[in-house]
Amino acid sequence: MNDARLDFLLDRYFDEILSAEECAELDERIRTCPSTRKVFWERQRLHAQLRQMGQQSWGSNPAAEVPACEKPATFFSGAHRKKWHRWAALLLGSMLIPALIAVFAPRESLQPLSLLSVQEKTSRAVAVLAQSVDAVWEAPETTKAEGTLFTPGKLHLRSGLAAIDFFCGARVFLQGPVQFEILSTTEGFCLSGKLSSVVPPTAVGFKIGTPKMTLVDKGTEFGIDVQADGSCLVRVIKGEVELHQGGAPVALPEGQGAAIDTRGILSQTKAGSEEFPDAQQLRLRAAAAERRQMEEWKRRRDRLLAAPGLLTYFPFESHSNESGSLERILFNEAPGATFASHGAIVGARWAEGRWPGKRALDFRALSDLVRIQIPGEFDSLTLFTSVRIDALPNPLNALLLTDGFDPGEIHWQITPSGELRLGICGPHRKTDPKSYKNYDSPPVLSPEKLGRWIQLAVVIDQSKGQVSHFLNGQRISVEPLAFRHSLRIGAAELGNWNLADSLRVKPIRHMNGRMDELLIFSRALRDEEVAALGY
Amino acid sequence: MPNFAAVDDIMQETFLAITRKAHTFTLGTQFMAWAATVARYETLKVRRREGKKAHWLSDESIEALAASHADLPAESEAQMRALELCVSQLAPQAKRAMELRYQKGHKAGEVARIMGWTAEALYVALSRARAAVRVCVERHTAAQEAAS
Repeated sequence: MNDARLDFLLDRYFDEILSAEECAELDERIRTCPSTRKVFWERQRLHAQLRQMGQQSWGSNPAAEVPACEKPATFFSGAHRKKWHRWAALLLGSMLIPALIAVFAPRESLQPLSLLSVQEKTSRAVAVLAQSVDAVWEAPETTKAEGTLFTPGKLHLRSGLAAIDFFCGARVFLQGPVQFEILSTTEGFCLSGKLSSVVPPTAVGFKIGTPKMTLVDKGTEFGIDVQADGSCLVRVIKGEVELHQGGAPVALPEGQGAAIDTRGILSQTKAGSEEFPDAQQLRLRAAAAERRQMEEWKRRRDRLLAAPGLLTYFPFESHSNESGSLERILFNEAPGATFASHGAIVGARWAEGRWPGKRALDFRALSDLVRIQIPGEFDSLTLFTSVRIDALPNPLNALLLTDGFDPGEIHWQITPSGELRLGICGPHRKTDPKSYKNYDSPPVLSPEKLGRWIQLAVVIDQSKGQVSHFLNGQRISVEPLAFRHSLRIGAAELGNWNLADSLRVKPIRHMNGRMDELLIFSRALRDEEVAALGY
Repeated sequence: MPNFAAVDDIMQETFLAITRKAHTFTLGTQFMAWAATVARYETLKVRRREGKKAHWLSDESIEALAASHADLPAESEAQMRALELCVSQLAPQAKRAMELRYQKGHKAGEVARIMGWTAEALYVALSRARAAVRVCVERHTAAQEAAS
C-alpha cells in the first residue's frame, strides 16, 4: 500500500469523483487499516477547514450581506442558524463532533477569512469601549483599555462606569453591576443593571432589549434599570422612545417613565428621580480617577528613583522657561544624572500622555526624534517604556536605536506585523556582516492594539543567557542569547534612526505615536520587578 | 460525507434533534457521546433516504471512522491562521480552483467547466493545491509551536 495511492483515493473521495471500484478500494482500506483512518480524518479536517474558511469569507462579503445596521440575528434565529450550520456542517463531515462543540462555544477570536483577498485584514467589531472609570469587569479580563473593540457578546461590568460606542452612533453608559450583551451595531440587551443611552439622529432605531420588553429609540436619551427578577424601570430623559412587548408599541414621551413588573405588566408613571449613568457623571469620576492616577504615578516615580541599577529615567515631564529652551530638553531624572545625560528633543512635540496631565512626546514626522547619550558598558540591561503606537508604517519602527551597530550595541524596534524586536550586534561584525542576532517576540501589536497606551520592556540577562520581551508587565517571549558580549548604548536615538550621518541614504524607521516614559536599568530586572514597573 | 449539501442537511437535522432534547443533557463527555450518536444516526438516515451511491463509504467504514475520530489532535487557531496564509501563497490558478471549490461550494465538475479545464486536469490541480497547503500548514504550525 503506498501513500500516493491513498492520497489519490482520498482526494477523489473529497471531490466526489470516486468510481465504484475506487470507492470499494478506499472502503476496504478504511475498514481494515487504522492508519488509513487517521489519514482520512487529517484530510477530512483540511477539507472541512477549507470549506469553513470559504464559508466565513462568503459570510463576511459585504456585497452578500445585509447592510451594516441590519437587524441582528440572535444565535438561534433562522438566518443565523442557516449561516452557522453551513460551515459547521462541513466540520461535521460524516460525524465530526467538534462542530457540535463549536455550536455551543463559537470561537469569537477566529476572524472571517477570505480566499478572495487574503491580504486584507478583517474585523467583526461592532462597538468600542469609549471610556471607563474605575471599571472592574468579570474575569478573565478584569480590566479593559479604552479603545477595546467589541464583537457581539456578553459584557459583565462588576463595578464602575463605562461608555460604549456602537458603530451606528449610539452611546450606552453602563453602571456596574450590569449584565449587558452587545448584539450588533444597532442593538444591545440588558439582562440586569442600570444603563442609559444617548442616540443621535443617525442612529434612530437603536434598540435595547430587556427580559420583559424592548426599547426602540427615536433619537433620544433614556435610562433603564433592570432588576434581577426581570422587572424594570424606564425613564425618558429627552425625546421619545417606543416600548415593544409583542403587541402594538407604546410611545413614551419625554419626561415619562414606565415600570414593568415581573409578569411583564406595564404601568406608565411620571419619571422619578432615579439617577442614571451619564456623560456628566462619567466626566466627574474620570477627573477624580485621573487625579488619583497621577498621584499614584508620582509616588511610583519617587520609589523608582531609589531602585538599584537605575541608569536613565525619562519621566517625560516638560519644564518651561521664558526662552522656551528647556522645552527641547528631555530630562533624565535618575539620581546622579549629569547634564550630558539629558536628551535633546528634535522635532517631536509635547502632547498629552496616558491621562490628562501626564506629558508625552508625539513622534510623527521623519524628523521627530530624541538624541540621547548613555556611556558605559553593561553586563545586563533592562529597557522599559510606555508608548502609544499609532501605526507601524515602516519595515522597522524605532523605539530606541544606537547610532551605529557595533559589537554589543542594541536596536529596539517593532516590525510591521507587531513583533517586538531586539537586535544585538555580535562580536565579529567587522569581519562578518551577519554577526548579529534579532530576538523577536510573537506578533503582539495587532491592529486593534494600535492607538492605545501600552508598556513594553525588554530584559537582556547575560547571567541567565537570555533575552525576554514584556508587554504590559507580562513576559511574552524568552530566547537564549546567541553570544556573550558586553552591552553598549552610547549615542542613540529614541523614536528614530539617523545613523549619526554615517550613511548618506538613511533607512526610514521613524516611530508613529507617543512615548511618555522610558527607563533603563544596568541590570536584568526579575519578572516581578518588570510587572511592578507597569502602571 | 464529502458532499456539502448533504452535510448541511445532516447538520441541520442533528442540530434540531439536539436542541429539542438539549434540556435533558448536561454539557460534558456524556453530552458529546450522545451528540455523536445523534449525528451518526442522522448520517445513516440520510444515506438510507438517498439510497446507495457509488462514491459512498459502507456503513461499516463509517462506524470504524467514528470510533477512531477521538484520536485526532485538537484543532488549533494557529492552524487556521496558517491555513489562511498558506492558501494565499498558492499560485493564482490553484487559488482560483480552491476558491470555486471551497468558497463558492461548486462541485469539482462545475469548477472544471467554469475554468475550462478537463476534469482530470482539475483533479490534479486540486490535489496538488491541497497537498501544498497541507505541507505549508504543517511547517507553519510546527514553527509556531517551536517558537512559543
